[in-house]
Amino acid sequence: MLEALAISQAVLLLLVIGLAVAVFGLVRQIGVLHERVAPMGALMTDRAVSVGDAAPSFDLKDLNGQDVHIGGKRPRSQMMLFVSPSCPVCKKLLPLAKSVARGERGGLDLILVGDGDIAEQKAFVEKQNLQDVPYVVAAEVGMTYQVGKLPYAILVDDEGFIRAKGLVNSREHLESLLEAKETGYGSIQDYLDAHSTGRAPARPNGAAEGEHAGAGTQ
Amino acid sequence: MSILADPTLTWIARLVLALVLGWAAVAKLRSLEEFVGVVGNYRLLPEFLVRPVAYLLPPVELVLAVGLIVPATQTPAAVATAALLVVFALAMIVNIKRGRTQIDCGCFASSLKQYLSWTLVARNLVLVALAALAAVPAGGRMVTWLDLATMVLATVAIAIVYATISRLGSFEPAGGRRKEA
Repeated sequence: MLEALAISQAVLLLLVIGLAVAVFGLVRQIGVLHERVAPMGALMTDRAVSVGDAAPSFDLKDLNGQDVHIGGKRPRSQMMLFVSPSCPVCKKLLPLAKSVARGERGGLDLILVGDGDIAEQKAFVEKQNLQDVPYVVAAEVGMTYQVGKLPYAILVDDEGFIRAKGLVNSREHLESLLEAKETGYGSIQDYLDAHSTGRAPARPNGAAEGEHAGAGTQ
Repeated sequence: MSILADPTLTWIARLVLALVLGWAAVAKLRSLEEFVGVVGNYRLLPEFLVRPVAYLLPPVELVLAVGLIVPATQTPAAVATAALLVVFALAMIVNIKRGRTQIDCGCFASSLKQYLSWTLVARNLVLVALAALAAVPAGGRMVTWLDLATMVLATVAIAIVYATISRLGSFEPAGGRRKEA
């Protein structure tokens, strides 16, 4: 019995140490949080573009050397999908994105945007069978649109305005972007807000940040 | 040392390892396609082996989790667990040395994103020590009701503390993570 007590005590002490480490980690995170919310001086923290704005346009060449134009008036809507060879979710999403683009009424041009080593991106295109989709490698696009996490999708309509954007992890997320374009609500939150209070959308394409995808952030 | 062969300690080590392995296996099975990408990201295996290995790892982890609890297979299962954890640690060390710390560890697949770091390597070594403890055949001391209570309660508490610390590790470090393409 005494031995059992001793063991129980030893395990308990080890657990206290474990908890102490966890608490220390939490305290450090509070410090990090303070640092992040602190005023940042000259650093611009606001978003470069939001839903409803005209999409900044780019003239680029894809990996096959074909011209790709982003933004501006076009016959069809465009969906930019920001991907990277080192992002597992992207690989899962690519075939879904292709099928969603094919299934869209009125047509939708899918453009893949990567960043980094060209040879690596070419190998990625080869492996994922993306030869039929324009793939541009341009860091400036992601910077201008302030894409932080991948895979990120931005929907630009035929008039050249951003209609929806957000982090996409699944077919549902992709379809929600297209849904956003059709209904005029930038995100499901906007739609619910507008309908739960019984008022019309004040800003149909207002400051939607694609938060629906935020919940699915992995 | 006799205290390390104490049946209570041995059982706690087995139960905790079984829980960790079981959780890891289930998380991987729930996003198996993504896990294939995670294994590929380590860039250690030839292309044709990535998919078989990714499909094989979760079942192996499940089998080990069960093996740790079944008395007849406990010692071999503990040794195999230690070996698997050492292999994982080596894979992480190689990639940390390559500077590829932005990839997901994949330990618990997408349900918990953890970037590679020395902390994760250290965590694996702690788990290896636990596996060593679990490999010791339980000593002959009589197990009393207090031992049973200690086993169950300590396992639950350790599992919760483990999950808490893992989640803390999945936050990005202060000052932001440098972006590598």
